[in-house]
Amino acid sequence: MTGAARQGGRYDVAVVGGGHNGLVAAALAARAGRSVVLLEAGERLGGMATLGPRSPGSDGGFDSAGAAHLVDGLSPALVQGLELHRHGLEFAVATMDDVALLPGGELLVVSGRDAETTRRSIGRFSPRDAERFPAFEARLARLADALAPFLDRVPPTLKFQDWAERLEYLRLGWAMRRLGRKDMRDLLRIIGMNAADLTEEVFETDALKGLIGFDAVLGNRFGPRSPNTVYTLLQRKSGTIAGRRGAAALPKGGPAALIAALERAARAAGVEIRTGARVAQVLVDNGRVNGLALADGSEIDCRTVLSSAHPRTTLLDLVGVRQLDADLVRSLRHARGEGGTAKVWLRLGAVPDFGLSAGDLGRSRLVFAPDLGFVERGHDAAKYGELPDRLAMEITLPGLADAHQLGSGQKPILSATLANVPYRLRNRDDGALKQALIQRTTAALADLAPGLAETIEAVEALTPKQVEAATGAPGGHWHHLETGLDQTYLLRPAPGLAQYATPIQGLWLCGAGSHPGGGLTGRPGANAARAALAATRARR
Amino acid sequence: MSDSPIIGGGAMLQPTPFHRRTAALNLVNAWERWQGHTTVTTFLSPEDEYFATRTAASLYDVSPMLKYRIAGPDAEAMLDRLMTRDVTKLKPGRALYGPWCDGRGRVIEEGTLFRESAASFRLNAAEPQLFWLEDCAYGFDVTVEEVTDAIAGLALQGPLAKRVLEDIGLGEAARLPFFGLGRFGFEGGEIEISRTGFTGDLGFELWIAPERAETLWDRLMAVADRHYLRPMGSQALNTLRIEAGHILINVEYVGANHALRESQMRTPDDLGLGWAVDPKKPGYFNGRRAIEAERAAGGPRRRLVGLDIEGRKPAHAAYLYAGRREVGQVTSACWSPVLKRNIALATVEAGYAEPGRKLKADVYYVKEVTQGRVEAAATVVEPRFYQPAHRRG
Repeated sequence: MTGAARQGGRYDVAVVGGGHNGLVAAALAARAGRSVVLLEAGERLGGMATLGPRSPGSDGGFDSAGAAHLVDGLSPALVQGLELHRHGLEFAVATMDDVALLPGGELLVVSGRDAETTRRSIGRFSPRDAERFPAFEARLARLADALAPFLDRVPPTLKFQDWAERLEYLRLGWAMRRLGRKDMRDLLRIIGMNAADLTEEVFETDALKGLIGFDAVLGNRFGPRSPNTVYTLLQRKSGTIAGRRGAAALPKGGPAALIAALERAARAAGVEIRTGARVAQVLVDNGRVNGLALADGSEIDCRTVLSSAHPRTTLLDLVGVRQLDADLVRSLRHARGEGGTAKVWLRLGAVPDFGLSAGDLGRSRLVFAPDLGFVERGHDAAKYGELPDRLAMEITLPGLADAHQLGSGQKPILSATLANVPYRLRNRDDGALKQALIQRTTAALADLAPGLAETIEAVEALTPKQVEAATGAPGGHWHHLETGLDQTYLLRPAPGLAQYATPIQGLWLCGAGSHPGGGLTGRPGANAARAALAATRARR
Repeated sequence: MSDSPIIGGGAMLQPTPFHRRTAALNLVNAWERWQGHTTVTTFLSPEDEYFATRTAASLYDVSPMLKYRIAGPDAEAMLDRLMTRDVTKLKPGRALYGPWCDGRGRVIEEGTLFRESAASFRLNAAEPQLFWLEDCAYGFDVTVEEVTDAIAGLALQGPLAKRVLEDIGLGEAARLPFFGLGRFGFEGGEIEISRTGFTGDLGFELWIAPERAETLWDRLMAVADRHYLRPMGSQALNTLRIEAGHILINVEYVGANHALRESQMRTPDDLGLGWAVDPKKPGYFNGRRAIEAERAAGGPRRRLVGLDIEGRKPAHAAYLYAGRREVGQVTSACWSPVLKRNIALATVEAGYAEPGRKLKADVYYVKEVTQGRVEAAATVVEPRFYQPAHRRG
């Protein structure tokens, strides 16, 4: 390759994709002394996190809104390592309260801060459940604790070949052993179970079971009666934010502010960030990365590429099947990752009446999933390609806790994340889906918050197909690939790819499709960067 | 439901397009199953059928062989990614033999690839491959179609095979080069003929539409007595292919997509097919990284070898010893009539695989109604026991 053809510049490391995992990987590589360029195809950074409702022609005034509205598993090691607080990351609410909305205006509160509030709230439905809840929470926390260390670690292979790998298995074994016999037995019994069966063993209150069942499935194409949803629940609980395991936090300025902090951290470390730079091809020479070809015809000269794009995009499109083994191509094609989650945003003329004060509303993650059957029936519809008549959803009103997140005219924005919205919809195109999402969301909210409908000033929606189109992630799934047991840890994104390395030497996967999955955790990006840096150090 | 009766848990085996002719000649009524078809084990005397092939010519019905047509603008690229040999070098009108592997470099199968035209190939295989071929076709502009039942196949093998072809008006085909392939006019229609075979002898394989199979058979058999052309069954073929050193799936190895145990899977180097892996071919092929890694790490752990065994008792499934250490096992064995040697194909640990190595074979044999056992000296040799010059001539 001649120098003239490589006008894109020469770097030690190129990172594909400017989502939060790409930013994390780029920042870590730069801090390790590598020259790094980050290439984002779009004009904005942040990937799915900041993918907003600013559709062409929209004047909704939703500037601060993004597809993500909370942060629930950001790696503490990363916050510290990248000095994100110094770069501007602050939390408006460190620990959100969970509030289950019920038809008729009743509420069930699981407070992130005050156990007594929780006890009293559940007690109004069932004194027995109120009594059992702390033990249940502690039980999940213990089990989640055992899984947590592995979120920040590179999964071992199944070859048991070198000592580092054996050590990793020992570590895994030790984490299980440390649980003690009783908890270990408990974990083995429940990890493959469905969340509905587990909650029904313990609780009698529909609202509580619905809340837990919803949390177990949100983001994946599962219902609470789908197998191994206890595992997905535990995985959700294993993240730590602002020092609390399993909690969700509201960043000041929203997820866009987290992205901005990551961008500052990356730039401070020396990362060159290019937007509007679409990667067309990973150049491979004799099985090794030999640079990147960009859509504009220029080439980047580099030997290490970290790609935060979907694993299928990275390998099947950017590398191409001709460089890969057909069985690997098959595993990648079969990896499940059709999105099942959508967004609706409403700009409201007034603070809605959910039976909470404006201050409490700002601090609350409202969940409308009044019972397990409600969520499961939604999943039933979705799995047959139908949009459920009644949508289970998670709602925040971040502007009520953080004025930076008010919409235009200082009006509160209601951000709803909708479960069970099928990517592959029968008899309905995406435009009709968008209208139906808006109509069904506003109808549900009109029931839950009297008078809300009359205050709606603007609405927007985001479907899985739009997420796909905007991010290039096939399926538009917020984890890229589902996080069921069959697509987790050693098996994520596909057998043989779990160590972030690919068959192409120098090419690493650093996005949500890799362990431990999506969500604003930064962990796939960090783990992949560590693995790639260790490998290049070894070769130097 | 189909109208074929159900016996023994499966649909009735299908007759091949040559069945009516072979059945009339199958004097001992010896049949066996082959990919859902009945084929002849022996017509009367395996020895006679064997010697016809080595000294004159024979006909063997290969119609049940699975056949796949791969066609389209990317057919060459797709097959080049499938096979370990360089398919881009295969010209239209030529065939090649070689293995194809999974991503871990383990042989799925080996077979013959015919390039019928620039953009159309036919792959012959012993085990079903449609699933794998379709997986391999993803991302390529090709169609993959199974054409097993659309093509009847007859192997004409033996030193007089050319003369037989000349006698039935196919003299042009008789001049095909080794591994050549062509289409010829025959009896008012077409026939495809390749200079290929499984016997290690001079020979051809004749491919024709099933409805014209009997015409072909009749034309050949009409000149049979002029050249001692004899129909042959699988029993004689097995001796022939062992002499030729041709491996057989499910005997020398189990295909990677079917093996239950990892230990039964084999890389090309394990099977002595290293020559059919082209390290210089520019394109990636399935298993390339794994095969190169195995080579970089010092080569395979075991190798397929030929054995020359003392005595005349075939060393079927014999364990092999170096001193007291068990180092391998025989996979195929026979007395070679043409070589007058007791030969075998075996898999042994790589450290004991160099030609000239002396091993001991633990040979069991039938002694009327009891079993006898003898410890026979076995010498490692190249597995191509019989390679007559006229094979390529």
